[in-house]
Amino acid sequence: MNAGNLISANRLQDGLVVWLDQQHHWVDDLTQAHVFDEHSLDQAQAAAKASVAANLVVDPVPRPAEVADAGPVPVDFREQLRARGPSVREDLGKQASDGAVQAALAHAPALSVAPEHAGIYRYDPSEREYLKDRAKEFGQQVARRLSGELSEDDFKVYRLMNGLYLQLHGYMLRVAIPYGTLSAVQLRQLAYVANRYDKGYGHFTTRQNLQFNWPTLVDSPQILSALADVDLHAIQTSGNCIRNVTTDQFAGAAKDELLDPRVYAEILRQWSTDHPEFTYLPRKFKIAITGAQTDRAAVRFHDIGILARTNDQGEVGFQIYAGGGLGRTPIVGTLVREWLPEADLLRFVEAILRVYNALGRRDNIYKARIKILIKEMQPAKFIEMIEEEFARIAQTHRPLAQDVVKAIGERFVVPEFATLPEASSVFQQAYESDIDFKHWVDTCTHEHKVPGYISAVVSLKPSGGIPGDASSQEMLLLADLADEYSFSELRVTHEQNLVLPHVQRDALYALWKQLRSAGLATPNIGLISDAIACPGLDYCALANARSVPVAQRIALRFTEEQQRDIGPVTLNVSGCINACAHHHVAHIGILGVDKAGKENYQITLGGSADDNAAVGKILGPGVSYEAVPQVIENILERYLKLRNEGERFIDTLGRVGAEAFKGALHVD
Amino acid sequence: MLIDRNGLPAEDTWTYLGADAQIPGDAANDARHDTVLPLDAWLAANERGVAPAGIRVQGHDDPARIAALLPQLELVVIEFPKTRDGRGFTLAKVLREKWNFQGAIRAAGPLLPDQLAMLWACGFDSLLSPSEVPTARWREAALAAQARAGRPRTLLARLTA
Repeated sequence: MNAGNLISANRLQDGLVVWLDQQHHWVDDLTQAHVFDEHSLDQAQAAAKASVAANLVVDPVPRPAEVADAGPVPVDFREQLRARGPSVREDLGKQASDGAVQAALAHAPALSVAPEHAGIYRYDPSEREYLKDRAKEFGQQVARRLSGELSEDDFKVYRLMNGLYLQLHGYMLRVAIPYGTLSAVQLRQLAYVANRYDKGYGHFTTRQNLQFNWPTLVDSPQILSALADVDLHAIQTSGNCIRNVTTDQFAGAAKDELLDPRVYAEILRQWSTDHPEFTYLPRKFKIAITGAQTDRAAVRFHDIGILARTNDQGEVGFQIYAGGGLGRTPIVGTLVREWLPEADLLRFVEAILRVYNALGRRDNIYKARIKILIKEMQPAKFIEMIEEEFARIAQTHRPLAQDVVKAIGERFVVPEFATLPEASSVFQQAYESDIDFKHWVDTCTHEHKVPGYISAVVSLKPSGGIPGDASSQEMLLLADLADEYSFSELRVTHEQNLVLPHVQRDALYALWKQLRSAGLATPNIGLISDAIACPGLDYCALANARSVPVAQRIALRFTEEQQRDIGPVTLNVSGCINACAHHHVAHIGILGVDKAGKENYQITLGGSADDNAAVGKILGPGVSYEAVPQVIENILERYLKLRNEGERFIDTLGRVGAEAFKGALHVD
Repeated sequence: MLIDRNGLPAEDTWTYLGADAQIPGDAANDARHDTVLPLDAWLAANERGVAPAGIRVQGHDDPARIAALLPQLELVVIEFPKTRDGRGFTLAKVLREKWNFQGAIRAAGPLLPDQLAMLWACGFDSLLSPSEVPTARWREAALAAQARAGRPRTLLARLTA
């Protein structure tokens, strides 16, 4: 029997959780909140409604609660978490014990910027002007919202257009990092924003973006303006439009590359930003592209996936997939074009989007993605329609002639690589004499196309940390290291790590020492503790269960040595069916669901995001929050018993089948 | 309120009738010419040889169905059921580019001033403003759009113009 209801809302100005007290004032401390009985609830709801009209709060909702000695106790788990307050990292950012360093960090914006451009792709001055204008315009819209001229519903359209979401405990700003490429200057500016307007850290996501979890509504136009100063923005990071185009984190550096996909990702970015026809699609639209032989961008799980391929005549062009995706309906994309000439890329993408915009379902949000359209109309019919539309669009319409591609490609800052021998004796000596360095090299580096260079992956998965979080101190340090070792360039990976793409092998040992002293040399890339986790119920308004602590507790189960013994395995943890952590495509996937008001976790096995794209299968009944780490340990113990020499987890699973792992779900 | 290409209020010479409107069966009636009828009513009137020069369609109507009627039309009003339902953009573009319609295409529905530039870019040349949008906002949006149109923002736009 419930004692009654709390009235819970988010404060308009900063998004923080507030409740009504007995006098109908909003309080942010649950112990001060009042639990209204059935007699007083109507009046309280009327007061809450008046507060909405007065632009004080957003979305007031009654939440069942009981009264204990210490104050109200919400009945449902989500409200309990909301009541706990923001899940702020105590060991990162302004809260950290080395907070004294923070004072030094409160520097003015990092405007050691060339007057015209700050990024690795050199924007036109007109682009920055446009971003500054957008920030100013958003400032006016925020003012109109705060004054009440705009209602929350009207304002929401503008808010989301600028990447600002209202989450569980506050606003969240999603900053686009196009194709995951960042300059040191841009990273310093992100550190500045984290410090000046947030709690001193940011969260790198599986879409190669960065999320700030605690901006206020009032500050957000200033944040956008500061981002615009370094050619960064939050445009199209929300809404039913073409989102940030993602790619291989080693683009432009990888040894197995046919072409640099960032050039085409940039072309797609320019083409899709503010697109007149494709900004109000049935649902969000995600494109990924890879230029390498190996798919490191999970392209077959995107609305459109583009792979560079050579045809029989030796010409480089593209293979196109459409209708892949995760979420409620995980599905590998359909191959819609075996090979497409480079010049036709935009025309073909336009044809796909036109068919989708006209015919995609708008009656049901869960059936609105292109994957459902292709499934419902049958792939053959869909391909026929896009080919017909593609043929109709004039050949002269936006062709990507070679000179266009070349001109855009030339806008990328190309590192001036030194001519070096393939091998490095400095590197070799360190590799053979320092076992810790060896372990790091074995997991955290990637072959470079230029002799004498190598790409270094910086793990944002320290043992027990939050996957993808980086503090402003770490960002500043990494910006300095990028300047010193990697031509001022960095990358964000969709596994939520960072990359220094162009490091001389000769300098790798020195770099590693600096990373290690900053706690940024965890040698676990590709191992069990390199888990992908969405923000989950600690942050996200959509989540049903927590993901971050699940990933943390699993990581803490295994020593580094055990992890190396287990070998390569992917572990992804999502806090809801929307699958932001891509749990379906992990070797071991964990999906948190709400089961009768409690967190419950489904385990899937056998997913894969690479060229053997596959969706994992559910192993059996879900398990409790407490049991998850033990279950994962059981699964891996079985693998160690069953594996043959040289077999990875996914190989053993493929050989013996999931049946052999079913018993792992039992925890005493 | 009719808003023209420059974002300014304009005099509307068209009469908009609902689905149940009765069109007098008099083919010589000039007043009838400047009338806009919903698609089904228009088709019914056309059966009787009294179709007006204006039609009102929904963003989700099949362009192939409308294409056959275009030679008889001077105005196509495309209705957006919701701000975020972008099918009307594609419909206008297809009418212009695939079926070469040269007449007027007018947007109706709960549209935002932010969408004006997109409407024009997809082939619309006027819109019927929802009553709650202050008229001045359309003008602001049109001026901003004109300023931007004069200076392509991206390198790609300049290279492929």
